[in-house]
Amino acid sequence: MERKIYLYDGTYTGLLTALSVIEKKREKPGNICPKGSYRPGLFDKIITITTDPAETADFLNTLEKVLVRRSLDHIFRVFLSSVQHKEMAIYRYVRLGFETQKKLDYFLSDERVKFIHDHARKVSVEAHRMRGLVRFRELQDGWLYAPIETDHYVLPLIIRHFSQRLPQKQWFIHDIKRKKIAIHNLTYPRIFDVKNYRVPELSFKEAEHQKIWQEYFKNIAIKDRKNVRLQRQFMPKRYWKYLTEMEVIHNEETCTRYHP
Amino acid sequence: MEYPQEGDPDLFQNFQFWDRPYGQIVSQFGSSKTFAKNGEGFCILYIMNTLEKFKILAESAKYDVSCSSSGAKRKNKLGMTVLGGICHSWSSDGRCISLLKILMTNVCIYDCAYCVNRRSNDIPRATFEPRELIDLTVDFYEKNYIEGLFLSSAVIKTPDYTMERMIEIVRQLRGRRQFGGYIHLKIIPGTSPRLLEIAGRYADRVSVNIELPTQKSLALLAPDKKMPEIIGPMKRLDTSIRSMIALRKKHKKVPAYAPAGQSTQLIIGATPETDLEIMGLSQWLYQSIHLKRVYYSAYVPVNTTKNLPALTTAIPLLREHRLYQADWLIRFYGFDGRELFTKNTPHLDLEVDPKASWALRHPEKFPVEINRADYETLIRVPGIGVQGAYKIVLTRQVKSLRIEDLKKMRISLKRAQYFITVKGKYHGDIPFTPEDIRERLAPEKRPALQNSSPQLNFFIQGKKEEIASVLHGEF
Ligand code: SF4
Repeated sequence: MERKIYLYDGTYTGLLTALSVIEKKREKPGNICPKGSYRPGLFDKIITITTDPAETADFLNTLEKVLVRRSLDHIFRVFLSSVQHKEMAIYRYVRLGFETQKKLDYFLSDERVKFIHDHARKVSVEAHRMRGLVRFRELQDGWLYAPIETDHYVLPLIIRHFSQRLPQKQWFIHDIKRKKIAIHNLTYPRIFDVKNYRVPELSFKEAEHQKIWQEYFKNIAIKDRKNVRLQRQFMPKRYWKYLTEMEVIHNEETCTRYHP
Repeated sequence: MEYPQEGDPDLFQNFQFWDRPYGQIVSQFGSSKTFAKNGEGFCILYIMNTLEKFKILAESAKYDVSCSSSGAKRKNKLGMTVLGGICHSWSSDGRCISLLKILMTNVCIYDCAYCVNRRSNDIPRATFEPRELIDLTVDFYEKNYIEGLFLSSAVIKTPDYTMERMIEIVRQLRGRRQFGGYIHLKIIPGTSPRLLEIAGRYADRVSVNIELPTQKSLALLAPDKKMPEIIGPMKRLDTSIRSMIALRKKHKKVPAYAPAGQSTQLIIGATPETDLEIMGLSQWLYQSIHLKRVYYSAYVPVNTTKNLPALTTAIPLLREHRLYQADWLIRFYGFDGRELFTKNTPHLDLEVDPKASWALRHPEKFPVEINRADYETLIRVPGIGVQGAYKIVLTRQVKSLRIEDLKKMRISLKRAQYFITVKGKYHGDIPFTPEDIRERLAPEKRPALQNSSPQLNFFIQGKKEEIASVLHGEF
């Protein structure tokens, strides 16, 4: 059996072009993969998609007519997720969407809808979390720098928030895993790729302000109500690495693990 | 000449202006004691730096539980507030940190028995200079540590004197620093109407803490405070807030006046009030003074006084949790406070949650049919919350539900199974008898997580703003 594999360039526009092509052909794809992560199979027939902004725009227009805004948001969020086979899940969701139209999101017990909702939700939750957990550090030239490591690619979802929050500051957020950097230089934020980024020196005041914050953080907990489990539930350990207030604890714990 | 005594509040007020300017000290975190006695009658005063003040004044502020940053929309050159609020961190007691919660001073003329800062306690005292606090707030805000400032204070000299200085701090923040973050301003009981009027202009939320639910308890433990001095400002603020909202509807340019409304806090377990009395008060506050939130704070013994529980008394965490649950039922589930109690039980059931307890007292109302019951009935089913009911109502429009569908929709049937039928069939593993079901539900004994919180849900549309803030573990 021959499987048709659609390869796209890994961008959202690319994925939408692919979906549009598939929709026009009206045949079920075997798989849709970003170029980089495709492993050749014996019976695969490869169709490479050339990203076409015009076609994407047309397709988006159609989608906007057929579906409600919320469904489109779900699709974008799942695209940002790092879950496996998200492209096929999006394809199935869109397919169902053409049948059910505006009522698509009412089918909560349908596997296709459920998958999209669950993963869109995971991405939204992480984005919301990061709006709180991003920690800026002041560099010597006055720029604010924040490194993050997230499960999903939430950078596009959070930069608007930060550019409204700190419109008159110069800041950048560095997604370390995905090697992306969002820069806001007094106007609006833009995302760039970076290869190797070495963090410049922190400003002179920074260490002291961090110390005050850490001290505050330690003091604000009511000792008699200690509940570390609850703390971890809200703020999972994987995010601690770049949290100014947890840095000390994080490093201490890592040290005792390696040098008992 | 008389030397000032250790712990004498006046001492510290007098030495206020001895503080070195903030800019110079920040870079020298030396270790210095607050002050120490040297020989007979001599008093060496160390001048505190920002870090030390910070420690003292944050320490004293932490018993105020409110930390919500939700309910307001505001934008400025520096910062903005988000309607749903944002948590920035969680401290090791599992509570959300959203605002920089701090006292302006812990020097107090009052002597409330339950409070660490009371006049008669011998503790280090400190007072912030406005500039110090403003700089810190702005810096923390820019680093994204916090969503805003929660400024509270002990009472120096008079309530008005204290309030004036607090207002000065927020006025400068909003004015000169163009701060658009969230500001929660505590109102000192007994503040004059003139200052109340100004306070609401700068703050997003204002709050007067009731602390003790009855005049009797107040007289016993906080003799300097009177009920009318607490409720009076609340009523006045409510009138202003309401009239400003009405005005804003007509003219867009009218500035916001405490857009996130009022809240208050009640201490649980320091005095003998029943849950019925407490919930009665809460309901009255919600209905008559339109409060946004009432916080319940389990009493943490910090002082020994004959009128108070001993220092070793366990903190009534479970009771606090039940009160929060009951509070939710009133605010989001359409319950009336009176439904939660009976003549013989003025306290909430500690074994099962208030909703289950109500359901078990009303077996005639159950089981309900999932495919037909309306939203208001569904949210009253134990185990089905606002989200669950919403999902059910939504999905029902396109298909009739089977038991598998409920499972797929992640609606937990563990507790709900005893109270529902699906397509006319009852799915509980034991017959519908309140006593037996109670047994099944009771093991839920672990002091559950207060404000246990499903994350922000994007399914809920209508009540989103209102509910969002409580859903993501925020206080
Ligand atoms: S007024 Fe009472 S509760 Fe407030 S700080 Fe002073 S002693 Fe404490």
